[in-house]
Amino acid sequence: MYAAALAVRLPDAEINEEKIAEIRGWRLPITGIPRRPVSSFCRGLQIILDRREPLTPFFGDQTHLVNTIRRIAGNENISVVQFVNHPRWVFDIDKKQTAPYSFPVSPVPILLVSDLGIRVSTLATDFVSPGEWVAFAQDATKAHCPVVALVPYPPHRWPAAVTEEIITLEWDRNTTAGAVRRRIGPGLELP
Amino acid sequence: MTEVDTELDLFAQRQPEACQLAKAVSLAARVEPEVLRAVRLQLPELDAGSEADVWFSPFVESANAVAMTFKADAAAALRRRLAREHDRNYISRIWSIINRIHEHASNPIRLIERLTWLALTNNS
Repeated sequence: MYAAALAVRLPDAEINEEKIAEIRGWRLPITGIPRRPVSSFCRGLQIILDRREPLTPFFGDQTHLVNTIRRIAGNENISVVQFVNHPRWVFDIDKKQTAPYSFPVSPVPILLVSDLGIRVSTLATDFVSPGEWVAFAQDATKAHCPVVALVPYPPHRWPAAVTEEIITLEWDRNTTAGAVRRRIGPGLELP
Repeated sequence: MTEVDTELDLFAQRQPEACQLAKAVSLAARVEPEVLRAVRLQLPELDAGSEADVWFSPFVESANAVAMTFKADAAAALRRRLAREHDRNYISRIWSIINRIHEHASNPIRLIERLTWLALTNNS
C-alpha cells in the first residue's frame, strides 16, 4: 500500500506500452510518452510524523509504519522528521537534532502522517490551522516535493481546504494498494 | 438517571461508533491503543477515527502515550450499557480479545477484568 501511495513518474522510466495501445484503441492523439510509475524509493522519501497530542493513540502505528518502510526501502534514502508542536519546527530522528523545517534540497515525495488538524489539541502550543497546512502544501509544491498525507480519520472528516492541496489517504484497514492507485493515478510527479 | 448517563446519551447520539467502541473496551481496566485497535477491528463499521474519539472523550480519567483509563463512574455506566445491549457471547468475544492482549499484564489488572467479565455475563 505504501509503495503504491509513493509511486512516482520519472522522465526516464519504462515506456507504458499498454497505455499507448489503449490511447490508440480510442483513436486519440498521443501527446506524450506514457511512462510506468516506479517506486519512489529510488529517489528517496521523507516521512514527517505529527507527534502532537491528538495523534497519541496512533504513535505506535507511526513507529510501525516507519519500520515497515525502512524494511522495504532501506535506511539510506529515507529521512524521518517529527514535530510535537508545529510542522515548521521539527526533530530529525537520524541526526537527533531539532531545527526549523526545510524541504529536501533534492525533490522527493513526502509522506505526512497527521490528522491535518481534525482534532484540536488541548495544548494551545499544538495548534496548526488548516491555513497553515495549506501554506505548507503550497511551499512543498514550490520545492517540487509532492506530499501524500495519511490521515487516521474517514474522508468526511477531512478539512476540505487542506485536501484540495494535499493528496490525502485514509489510514485504515480498507485502504488497499488498489484504492491508493486509483487515488494517486499514474504516480506522483518528480522533476 | 445520573449525570454520566446523560453525557453518554449525548455521546451515543453524536458519535455512535465511538460510543459502541467505548462500551466494548470498558471491559478493560486499562485501555492501550492495541486494545482499542483489536476491539475496533471486531466491530466492522468502525473507522480508525473512532479510536481517537474514545481516547479523547470526556469519559477518560487519564491518558498518556501508553494507555488510558476511564473515570470510575463512566466505566460503570458503559459496562451497564454493554450488558444491557449485548448478549454474553458478544461480551465474551470482546473479553477474550482484551484478555489475550493483557496476557502479560499485572495480576490485579487481569483479575479486575476477569471479575468484570464474569459479573457482566452472569447478569446478561
